[in-house]
Amino acid sequence: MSLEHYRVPDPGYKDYVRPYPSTWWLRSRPYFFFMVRELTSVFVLIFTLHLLSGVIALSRGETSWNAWVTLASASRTLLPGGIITLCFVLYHSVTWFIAGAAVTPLEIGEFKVTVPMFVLGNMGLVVVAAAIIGYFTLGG
Amino acid sequence: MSDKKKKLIVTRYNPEHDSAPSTRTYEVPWDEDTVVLDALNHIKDQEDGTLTYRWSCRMGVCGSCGMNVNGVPKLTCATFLRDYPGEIRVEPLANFPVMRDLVVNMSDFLEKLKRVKPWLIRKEEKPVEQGEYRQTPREREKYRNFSMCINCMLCYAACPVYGREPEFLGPAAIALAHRYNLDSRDQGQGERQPILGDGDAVWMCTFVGECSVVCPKHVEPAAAIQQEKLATAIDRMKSFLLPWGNR
Repeated sequence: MSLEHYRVPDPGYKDYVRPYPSTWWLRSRPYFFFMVRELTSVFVLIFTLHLLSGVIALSRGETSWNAWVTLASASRTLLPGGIITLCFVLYHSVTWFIAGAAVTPLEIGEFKVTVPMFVLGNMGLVVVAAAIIGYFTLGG
Repeated sequence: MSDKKKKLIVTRYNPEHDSAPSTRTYEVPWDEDTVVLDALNHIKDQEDGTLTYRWSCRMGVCGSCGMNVNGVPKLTCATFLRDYPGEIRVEPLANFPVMRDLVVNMSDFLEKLKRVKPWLIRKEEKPVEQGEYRQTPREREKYRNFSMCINCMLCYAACPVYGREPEFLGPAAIALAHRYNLDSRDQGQGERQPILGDGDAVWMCTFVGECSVVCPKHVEPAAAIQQEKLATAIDRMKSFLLPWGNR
């Protein structure tokens, strides 16, 4: 008996395809916090562009650098913007390290590195790196 | 069964008569041990024999009874009514076309599953008399998590990328491809890599991560996809730096 014998004829009914609204991320908390995580990167981008403009100004010489510093000092949005960006960067880095733990499951010999260990270890490295940079730029 | 009653709001759709799905409310008796599938079976047996849904094993193994319960993809055989204080909305698995009532069309998933070649591929099969392909417990542990998938499609229902862009290869198919790529007995990574590195595969994932959260078998499709991104990127880099090399 051929396979054709068992084939069920297509009844010709149409499946119903449900619409997928662009507000899908408001449906649940995990989706919402995913969107927040993605949004934080926009602030990081703005901060990075600002920093880059400072580096370019520095490379162009003293006059250019002084003009950039004067402009930045006069800005009323720089400090609150910087604080918001710092909060978002911290949020983004924690979510990034949690994600990173899933992407790169670490094993040291027989020992498996857990997600909290991975996140705390990486955050510790961030603090150490920030302290070293802070020492040389502010105090050193 | 106690006299307690719970309200179930169930999606109904008859393609012969309806232009769109609607809902119907049923009151079902329940106790501490009643699962959503029991409630649906009660409706079908006692109230409305036309209610259509898939189920089989009733023990979280076959992966047939996946539905959205209060908006979250669940295996209805493992979802207890006692965990829902109010009324319960039972809908067909999200992101799939609805065929009838709570039954979705899974053809798209089955085609994608086949596309990633989820089986052991050998460059050359050794004769049976030479014995089996042996593996240490440690080698097995590398892919064990990804081998627990029961093809229930809950991860597809939780994935907004698949919801928005159905051409996405999707979590379970990629997790299974990854499972075989990690298997020490398999030699098919070279065949799967072009499929996984294609425009509609791993790079469409934005790492929402809900696929791993809803998985009833604790498989980590989100991790599988990110790990395959890394493998695909390394593969591309190798082909760029060593175009003549034996990759």
